[in-house]
Amino acid sequence: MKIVVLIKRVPDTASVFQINDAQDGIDTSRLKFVMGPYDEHAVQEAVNLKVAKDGEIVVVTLGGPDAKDKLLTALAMGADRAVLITGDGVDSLGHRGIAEALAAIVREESADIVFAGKQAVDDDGSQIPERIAEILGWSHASVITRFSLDGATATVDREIEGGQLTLEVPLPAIFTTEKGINKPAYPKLPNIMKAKKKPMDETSLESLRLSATDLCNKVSIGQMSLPRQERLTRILEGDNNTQVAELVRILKEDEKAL
Amino acid sequence: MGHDFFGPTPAAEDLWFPEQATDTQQLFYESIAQFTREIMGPAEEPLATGDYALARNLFRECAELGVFAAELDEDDDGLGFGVLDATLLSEAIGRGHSLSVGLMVHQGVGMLPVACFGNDSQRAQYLPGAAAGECIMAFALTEPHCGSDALALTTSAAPKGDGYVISGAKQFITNAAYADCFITFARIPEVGITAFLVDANTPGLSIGPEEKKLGQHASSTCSVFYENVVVDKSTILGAPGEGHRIALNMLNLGRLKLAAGCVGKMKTLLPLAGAYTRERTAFGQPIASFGMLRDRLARMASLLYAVESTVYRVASVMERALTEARGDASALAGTERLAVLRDFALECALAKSFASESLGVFTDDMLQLYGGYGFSEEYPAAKAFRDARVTRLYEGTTEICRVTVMQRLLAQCGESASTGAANAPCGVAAQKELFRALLQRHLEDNGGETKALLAEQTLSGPFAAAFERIYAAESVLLRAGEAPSSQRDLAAYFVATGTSANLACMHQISGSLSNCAAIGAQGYEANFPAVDVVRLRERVVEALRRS
Repeated sequence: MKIVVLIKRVPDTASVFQINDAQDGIDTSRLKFVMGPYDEHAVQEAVNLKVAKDGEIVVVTLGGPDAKDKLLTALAMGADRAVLITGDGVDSLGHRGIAEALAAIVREESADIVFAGKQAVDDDGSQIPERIAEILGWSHASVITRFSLDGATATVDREIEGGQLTLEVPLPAIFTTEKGINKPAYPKLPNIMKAKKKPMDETSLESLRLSATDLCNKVSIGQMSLPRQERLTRILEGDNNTQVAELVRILKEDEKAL
Repeated sequence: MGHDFFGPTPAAEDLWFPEQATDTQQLFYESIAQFTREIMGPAEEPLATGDYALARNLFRECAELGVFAAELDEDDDGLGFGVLDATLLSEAIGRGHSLSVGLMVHQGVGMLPVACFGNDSQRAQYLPGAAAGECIMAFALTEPHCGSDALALTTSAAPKGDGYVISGAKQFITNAAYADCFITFARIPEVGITAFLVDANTPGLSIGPEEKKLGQHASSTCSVFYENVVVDKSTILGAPGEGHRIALNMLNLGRLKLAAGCVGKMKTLLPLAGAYTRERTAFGQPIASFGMLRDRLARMASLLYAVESTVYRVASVMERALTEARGDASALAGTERLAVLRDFALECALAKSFASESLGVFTDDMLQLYGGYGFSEEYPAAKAFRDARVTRLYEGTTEICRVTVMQRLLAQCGESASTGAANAPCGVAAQKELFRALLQRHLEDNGGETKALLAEQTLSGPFAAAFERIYAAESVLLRAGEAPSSQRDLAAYFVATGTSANLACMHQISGSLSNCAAIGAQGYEANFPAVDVVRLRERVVEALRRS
């Protein structure tokens, strides 16, 4: 069985974000980057499936050379092989183009199952895996919280507003993972040391026979801004008397409301 | 010989600083940091009440992560970590709470002597279990009446038949309550100090009650008593009479790792202190806006930067020496490895005293930032303050480390010539040259006799303290050379604030020497122009806020 996992390198959401000088993106110079938090669950689910049913895990991402460190993380978590789609044109792709490129890899790998995080936490696009399913004509189930496999049919749980669906999905299929599905294990040191010896291949849009010009993003960011702070929350500490005294002081001195 | 302090300054490109961490290094660091956060963190309280089963469990979990096998050679099923990776690992473990010290003692002074000096049968007996966290190791050197003067130990090993009878007591032994094997240092009459591998269940060996400590409550520290403990001669580690070599060399490496652990602690604490000062308000504004508190925040940030720079400078020169010693061989035999490490006694002692003294200042600043809540156990500052205190005591007190530094420096100084840098307009090179000139003048005043300075600790103390700061200042400048401006600000702030302390030290020293004018030791303040420390401080604190 061939399992492909799609991951994305994203800024750590605990970072302090600032807008770049051109006001069309975030200033990435001081940011810490991580593997998408939902993607970690996707990798872990693939590893769990491999432990149960055997198979090969190929982890794939698209981006610049910086993205290799997150592929290495996935290899350390238990993936067998990594593929980076990089080179000319990858930066200019929009959601459609990214989906086409990743779908090309999934096709090339003759995958049976694809796992991906339910969304990337940078642009919250939540559409790449669904687009890939469409391109390949595969079944798909999104935001799953449980996965099991019997023969060529997967049974998955999907949380919906006020309830839960249990779906039976024939393979090949693509699944996007929600946080509760598993607990990603942090990679162990021996696996980290072995990871750098595992194969990490690079490919380009050109070798996938895709045209960067055709697939480039038609939508551009006009302006990006930080949310305006409309409410300032302050939590008062101490016993009731202290809190009331502080509240009166704030209303009088800081807010000039009394 | 280690780095010649009075020789040329090393080139920045020959050193390793955290900015150069490879993907693999970042990954294993983050993995261990996550372990300390998510697994060790919640275990702190139950461990402090003496839950030994939980402690043993954490040893096993840490073993599963691969921490204990990291420094073993591949022949011993290890990962073959060098000094640099081992230092990073120690920093990551140090981020955890006070069981960190137990984990490090097990992995370091517990396992490494067996790996380096053990024969095949001893390695086969202990290393697999120790790597799996099943056989917990302890290092029994200190005694009730000898700590810093460890080689004056009185525990005896009297020959009897094919073995020895060990009698005596050991004090402050980390991991004692649940250790399975004690590396026990005892004196064989007319042979000398010898290391024995003594299993915890050997008849006659007993463990005292838990020490009631100021801090580090999650780690076990007890006395160990040996009442006619009969051991076979096969339990001797290394050769009879060679125990002091094992003990001292292991402590060298242990000191560097302890310094790295201090870096880990500072990295965990600094964001907490920063966040608190931004949230807590007084007089209607966040307390982070007050200048006196900003001084403390900036000092904390710059001390972290300086200790980190110093620790990794030392780790990289040691790594380089080991790589050169290994040549084409796949691994270095344990005894050869230690021969190289011995040359770095000065650097290890310096890193340890500088890191632990800095952590003391750092946690004191942190407590002050929390105001009254700093004194309350409800907030993290009190525990950080208590836990930090012992780092200035164990693995060689600050004073012992400084004596080691001065012994080595005096040996180097006698051989070195002036670099002429005292005439340099300002900066660390001038401080270094002034230091060298003062040291040389002292030697000349005493007819080249180094013993005088070592005996006169009121003088050798300031010398060593000044040396620490000069070495650290050199390290931050080497690191910050090509770094982003936020790092250059940290370096400049550290150098500026350290310089005045150094000048005070050197002033104290020069007052005791003859004819200091000749070496420019008087009026030298003119060589160090004033720096706008407040402007630097503002940039450091602002960078901290944005990090």
